[in-house]
Amino acid sequence: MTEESILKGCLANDAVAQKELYNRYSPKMLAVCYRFAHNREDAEDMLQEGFIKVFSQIHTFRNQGAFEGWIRRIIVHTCINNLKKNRKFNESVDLIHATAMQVREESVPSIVQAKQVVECIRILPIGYRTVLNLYAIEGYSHREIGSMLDIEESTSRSQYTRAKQMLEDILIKKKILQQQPSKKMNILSSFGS
Amino acid sequence: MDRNFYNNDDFEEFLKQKADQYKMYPSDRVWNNIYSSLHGRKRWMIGGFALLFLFSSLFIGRQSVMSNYTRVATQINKVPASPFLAINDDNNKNDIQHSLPVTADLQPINNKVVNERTTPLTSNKGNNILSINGANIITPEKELFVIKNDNYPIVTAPAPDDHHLATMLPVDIKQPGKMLEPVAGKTKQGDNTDILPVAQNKTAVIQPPKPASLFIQFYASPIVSYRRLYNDAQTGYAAPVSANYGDNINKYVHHKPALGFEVGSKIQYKLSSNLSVYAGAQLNYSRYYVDAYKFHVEKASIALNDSRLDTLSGYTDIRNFSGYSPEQLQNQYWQLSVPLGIEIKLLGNKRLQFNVAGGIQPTFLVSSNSYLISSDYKNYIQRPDMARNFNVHTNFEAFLSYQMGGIRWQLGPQFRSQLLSSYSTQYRVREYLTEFGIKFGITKSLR
Repeated sequence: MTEESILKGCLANDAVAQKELYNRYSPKMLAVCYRFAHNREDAEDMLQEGFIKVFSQIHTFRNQGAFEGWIRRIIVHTCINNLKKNRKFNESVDLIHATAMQVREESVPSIVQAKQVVECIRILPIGYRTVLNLYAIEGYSHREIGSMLDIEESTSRSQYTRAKQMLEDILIKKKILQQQPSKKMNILSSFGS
Repeated sequence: MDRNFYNNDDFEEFLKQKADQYKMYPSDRVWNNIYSSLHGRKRWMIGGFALLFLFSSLFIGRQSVMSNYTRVATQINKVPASPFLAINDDNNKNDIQHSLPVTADLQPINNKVVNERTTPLTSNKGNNILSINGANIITPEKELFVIKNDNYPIVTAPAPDDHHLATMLPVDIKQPGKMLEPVAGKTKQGDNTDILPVAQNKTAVIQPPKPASLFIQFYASPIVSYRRLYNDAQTGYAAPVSANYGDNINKYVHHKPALGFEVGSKIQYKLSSNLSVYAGAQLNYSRYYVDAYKFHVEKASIALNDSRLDTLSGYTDIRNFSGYSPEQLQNQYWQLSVPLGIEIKLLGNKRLQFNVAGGIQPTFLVSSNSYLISSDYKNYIQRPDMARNFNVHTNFEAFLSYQMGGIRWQLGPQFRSQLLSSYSTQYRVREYLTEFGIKFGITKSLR
């Protein structure tokens, strides 16, 4: 089934086409939600809400840009809206000078490759994690992040800097990254390019 | 420790790459909820409206049955009570008026009670109007009314073809259908009863009460659901991965019957003493167990009877064969039906009867939670969108019924079979449900 026929089917509210779209994109989108969420259950709730929005707003898709990117933006905004409803998240984002948390080696799960990196990201405090997810992975600018999270652009920058430092620390402790005196990133060969 | 020793762009690229490589497979619950949110409300709304329509029809039907009596009763209620009954008949040249202490109980000849009060009555010629103390009671054309008193004779008021109330005749309450003899302008029965005179050349027909012809029934039944499966793979659309598994799909699945239920009500109309027809509304909950295994998430494909889209694929963690741990699934269906059929009395008398009934049931699927087997029979996967919304069932039942007071009780086995597959025609595996149950019902006459 081509993406065009899926799109046409979804516009006609055809359940078969909707399921195809869901099957095609839900694994990636659940991983996106999981990076933002507290746990898998919350991530699934976000995914569900996000896909309902996707299907109900699909008539607004204008074929300008990738369909996946459009879906991803809806999912990310759904995640952010969900997090903003959480009081702890708001408190966390407001902490401009949050102290670096102590990372215990045993708190990092012994899993491999991409999942290991994702789990390392999830160890970060929720405010740091959100900014890092939005900036480094989703590609939003600090200005956009500030607008999305209702914080200053400078807050977003400082949160990201601290998040990045903390994540580096975690990745090195887990021997996913090697500390290089030459200040050049060296990813362990086991992860490939 | 030296911080910021990585190039920012490289670090972000590394994170993005790893994050994008990571995939997670959501549980079935997520899609089921999405599907319910997008399509479920519509189904429940249709189901709700169907129920509302059916019960409204039942209510309106009952109301229309009572409408004739209500109209007369409303008029009578406007008239002050009087212990006398007076009849004026213009055909009678003597214009006889007799007073008769009577408790009037007006009803059509089919024995339905309208109202009961003590009141004088007069008849007017030329129309179909019965007067009580000057107030008119509009009587339904060509209907007979009975004025009854538990202690005194029944007096009938026929409304003849010439649209006027001609006369009222005395009859013996203990012998319905038998008229009393008029005695010199007065008819006497017993020691304390004045009977109205019989007008000359007028014939009054006293009909015995007709048996009730309209009934309402409420019933419930525990049901056990079985299923039959067929695979269309050999019909020219060869499934890409099922060829090695042969034709008989039933050899490859492990399904067990499970308990469900059926509740409903229906209106029955008696065509004769032995035959009646019925229509109603019914809710069925059917299910059966599926023995399967939990396994890691893997891709499952379903071959379709569709030239445009020949295969559907999805991810599932349920296997039909070996897996990590046994898992028992349930395929469940909530259905709303409109049973239409006939009922025949085979044996018995008025009190105890043996009956059989059968008919068809157009069915609407309100909700379902079912697992479809993949084309290679290896996995189970949920695809609620493949369920058929409308179906047709047949049913057959035999039962003993017993009349007690105004209610008839019945109990007996029943059988219900699905005529169309549970799934849409796109899915090559066809499933037919068959249900067995013990039905219990009560029936009450409406008129």
